Amino acid sequence: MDDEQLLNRYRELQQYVGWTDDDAARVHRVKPLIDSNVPALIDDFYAEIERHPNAKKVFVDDGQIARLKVSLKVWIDQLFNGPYDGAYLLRRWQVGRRHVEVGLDHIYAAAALSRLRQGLVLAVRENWPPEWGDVSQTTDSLRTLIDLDFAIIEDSYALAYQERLQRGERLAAIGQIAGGVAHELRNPLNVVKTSAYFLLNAKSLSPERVREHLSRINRQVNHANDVITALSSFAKPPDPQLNSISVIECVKSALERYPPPQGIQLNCDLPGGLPKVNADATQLGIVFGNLIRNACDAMPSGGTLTLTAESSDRTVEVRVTDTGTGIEPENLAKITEPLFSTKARGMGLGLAITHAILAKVSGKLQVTSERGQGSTFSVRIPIAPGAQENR
Amino acid sequence: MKDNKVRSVLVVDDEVDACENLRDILVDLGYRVGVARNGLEAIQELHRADYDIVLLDLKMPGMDGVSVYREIKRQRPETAAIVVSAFSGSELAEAALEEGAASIVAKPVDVPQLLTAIATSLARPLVLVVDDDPDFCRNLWQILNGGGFRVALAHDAEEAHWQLAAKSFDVVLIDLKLRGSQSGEDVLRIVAETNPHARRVLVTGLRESSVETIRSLVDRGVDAVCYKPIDVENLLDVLSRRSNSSQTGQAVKDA
Repeated sequence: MDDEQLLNRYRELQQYVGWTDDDAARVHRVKPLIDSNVPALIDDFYAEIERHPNAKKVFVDDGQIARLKVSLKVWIDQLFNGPYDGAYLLRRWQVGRRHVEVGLDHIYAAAALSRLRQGLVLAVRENWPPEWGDVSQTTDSLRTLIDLDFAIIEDSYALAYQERLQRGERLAAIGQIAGGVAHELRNPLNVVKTSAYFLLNAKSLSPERVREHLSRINRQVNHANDVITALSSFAKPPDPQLNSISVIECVKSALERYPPPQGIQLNCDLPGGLPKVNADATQLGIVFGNLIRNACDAMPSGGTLTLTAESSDRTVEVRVTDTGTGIEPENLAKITEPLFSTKARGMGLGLAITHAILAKVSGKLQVTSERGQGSTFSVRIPIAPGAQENR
Repeated sequence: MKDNKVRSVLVVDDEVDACENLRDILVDLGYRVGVARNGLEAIQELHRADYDIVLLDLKMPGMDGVSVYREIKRQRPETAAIVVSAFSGSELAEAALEEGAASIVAKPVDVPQLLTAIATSLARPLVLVVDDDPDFCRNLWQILNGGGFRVALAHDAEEAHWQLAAKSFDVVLIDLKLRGSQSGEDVLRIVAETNPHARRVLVTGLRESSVETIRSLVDRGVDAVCYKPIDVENLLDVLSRRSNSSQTGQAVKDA
């Protein structure tokens, strides 16, 4: 927030609480009355903060507190004297940011400030000359002024705190990506490195051997490149080319690309003539490919893969059911998170991509899973407008 | 029958190319090399043949590397495990070390570092523990494995015989009293026949009653005697001594 925004915000707040120049004049007037009370109030303010171990630990030494006491004195002087201008506000604004920087929980500053407010009001009352008449107008003005100050400090604290949190989240996200990619890249790099070692150091090296190792290097470099391509196309997915297409055809072509391995029995109930949907055939193929591969991966010692499809009034639904290991209940909510994986291989992008593709065509992905029994992934896609008629 | 010259390594990794590369490198250096693509294959291969060292990937489909190592320890506790993983700093890697893996090598593998790790593991003296108490055996395994030894276990004289015939041991640790018909004395005889260079350390809980027996055994070539409950530091001290004289035994006995 710049000076001008800050000043506008303050004016807005002043208006809201009904602050006028009369209030300012009343506060200016009592300044000489309370001057002698200020040092004790400042000591009390920091004693209050230091009472809490969590607050005390942010202060590195007593010298720091001595310096802060000087700042507080300046703050109180400005509070009573004004002017309530940009410089005044900037000083308040920095207090909140500073608290975030040193890691002082706002609650301690709030508690101490509330004590200080009470102390100042009391000091005004005690030193109030009776001939001046009613004190309450002045103490109300003082309270309002401190509330306004506190609102600014609180604003700046909240903003700085949020910025800090977002920074932390960004770092965590980078860490997660690095961790997920690390394994997938280190494995191909491992082959490249060990092949290079062999080619450089082997005692006996036939031309066939050399060829073999060079083709391993080539293969693994391609694999590493695929990893990076997958990651970047996940971060920036291509726009879907929407056409009126048959879901069943997509499922069948995915099945051709990823035929279930030996030991897995395939059960299909994929009726022809279901209504067409408005989607990108390639992307929908990726969806079913991912679900079929996942289902097969979940059955390392064999099982049954069942694919069924049916339509209702508004949607076509495809179900991919396996009789595999099932998903741990605590993982169910995480399976579509990017980079979440329980497999030995893969980055954990499959279901995240699936989810993203379906979201673009208003499709839905639902999962039911029983540990040790298997899982069912159901994909529901809205029927293209008018498609019901042109079966 | 004993294959003392050719050292053997089993490479366990689900990445075929990674396995084949390590096979090529190690075969070129004169090792006998086996390859397994997952935990189950590794365990089956260890049933079939003996390996000095297992190079173990951590993240594999099915069993992870740590579970595989636990099974290896049950079957072939003398097989040293070196973890080779892209997750060298992970909890799984920590767990492998906790289980007693010799070392961890990060992927991409620095081959000279891996060869050093293999050489270091092979340089560890091979100890055979012959004791019929499985808990005591497990404890000794942990202590000695942590103390820089490779440790084979035998629970009776027959198992000991089988082990002694198959491998050459640097030290044999024998409990005098064993289950079954044969005693520790019989094992001592087998050691003398099959592994004449192995140092022989007696472990016994009988302090007074068999003084005579022990004295006569020391005379017949037992290098040291340790009394139960075992003083761990004393035992490690005894085992790491290179000397083969019966003086050592006497000293330990008197200590």
